[in-house]
Amino acid sequence: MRILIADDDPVSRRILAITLLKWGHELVIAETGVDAWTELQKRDAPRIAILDWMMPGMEGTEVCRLARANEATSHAYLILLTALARKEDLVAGLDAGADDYLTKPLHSHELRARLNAGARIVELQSNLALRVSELELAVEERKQAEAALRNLTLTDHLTGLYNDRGFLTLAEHHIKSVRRKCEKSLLLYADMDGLKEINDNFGHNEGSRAIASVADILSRTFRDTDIVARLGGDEFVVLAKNLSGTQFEMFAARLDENIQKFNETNVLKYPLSLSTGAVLINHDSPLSLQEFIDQADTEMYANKRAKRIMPGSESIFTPAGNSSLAF
Amino acid sequence: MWSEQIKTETISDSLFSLLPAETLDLNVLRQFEELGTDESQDLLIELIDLYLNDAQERFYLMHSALAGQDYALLRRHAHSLRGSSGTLGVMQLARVCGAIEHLPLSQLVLEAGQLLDSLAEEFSKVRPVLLAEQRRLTK
Repeated sequence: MRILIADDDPVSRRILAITLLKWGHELVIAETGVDAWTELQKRDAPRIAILDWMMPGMEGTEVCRLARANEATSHAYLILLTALARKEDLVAGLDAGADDYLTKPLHSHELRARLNAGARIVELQSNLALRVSELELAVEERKQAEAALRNLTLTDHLTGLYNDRGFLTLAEHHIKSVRRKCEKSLLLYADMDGLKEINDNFGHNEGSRAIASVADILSRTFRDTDIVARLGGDEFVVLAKNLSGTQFEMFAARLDENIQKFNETNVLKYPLSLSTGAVLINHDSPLSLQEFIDQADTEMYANKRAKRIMPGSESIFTPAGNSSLAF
Repeated sequence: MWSEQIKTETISDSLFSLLPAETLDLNVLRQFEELGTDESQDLLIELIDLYLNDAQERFYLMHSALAGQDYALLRRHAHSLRGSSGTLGVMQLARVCGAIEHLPLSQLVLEAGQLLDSLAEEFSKVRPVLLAEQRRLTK
């Protein structure tokens, strides 16, 4: 083990050094308190230090105080060496931050026993530090793995709908087929009204329940072949495939009706409400999928604002069925 | 100094026996021989060197401190000298150092000169014995 020894008395210093060397320790030797403090602050500083109490310039107790006050040196195991054998001196030494003390003249058996105690503590500390850093590493790896997994998965774990990645993948594919086959589709952007209030008033579990209920309503309203997804938070998107002109209105009415029916069951303590915006995807439209989504989002936002300025409809606690579906 | 016929070892042993253990405790000094390294004899020679040099320097520094009426500094050097003296078993010298360290200041002011004299006297007794011990070990 590497040990720092600091003593201005050359005789004591030499005896201590030769004793420790004989026991197989590696030494860093300082002749003053200032040198000892410099050594303790170095990157690979010894973990155990034996410091003479009375040294010119900076006393051993001062080195202890400085070491304890600094994060990098606070774990060093410090043994004060003193010819002061009075109880109050020893207490003062321990108060300064020393872990242990040895009185001069040194007795080798006592020195060895106290060093062994110090070495045990240093070893425990470094095992603990190693374990902590292993755990931190494991947690970090786990987080990265989870993030990687989230990126790989296509579904939203709360609602079972497609997530944004799933939606983009499938919708992109579908739009190509729309263009190839000269078909029409509908892209619906839906945003829950008042999720924040639900979370604030009833807690996040209730918020999750509301999100899951909206997901359920959307799934029931559209067909199995349509792509229903939760983009995140309170935002949903639906790509309804191969629609004829009259089917647009039908879906709008069906969504309103399903929301109303759901609210009448009183499963939740508050009515659900959606703001929606929709855009038609024509085979000859040059827009990209993202541009269609942005357009539907803008539409939705305009509808949401229009709803807000209507008297009595600022809150989610308005009667159900007023979700506006604009085509 | 001594007759050629008398072995240095004998001289040093006899000199040790002349000094009471309260002045120089032979057992304390000899424990370093038992430190067990192959060079323990060299170690003792070295320690005696270190001690004699350090003590002489401390005497000088203590006299300077006294001349400058810096009693705190005087006590500090006495403390250091007490440490090395105690370590090598130079007991009486360590005791005088202890007195310098712990006497009330009013008394120290009066007695410091006398105490430094008795340090010098103790040192003059111990020094030849330690040198003889060194010579014995050098053989």
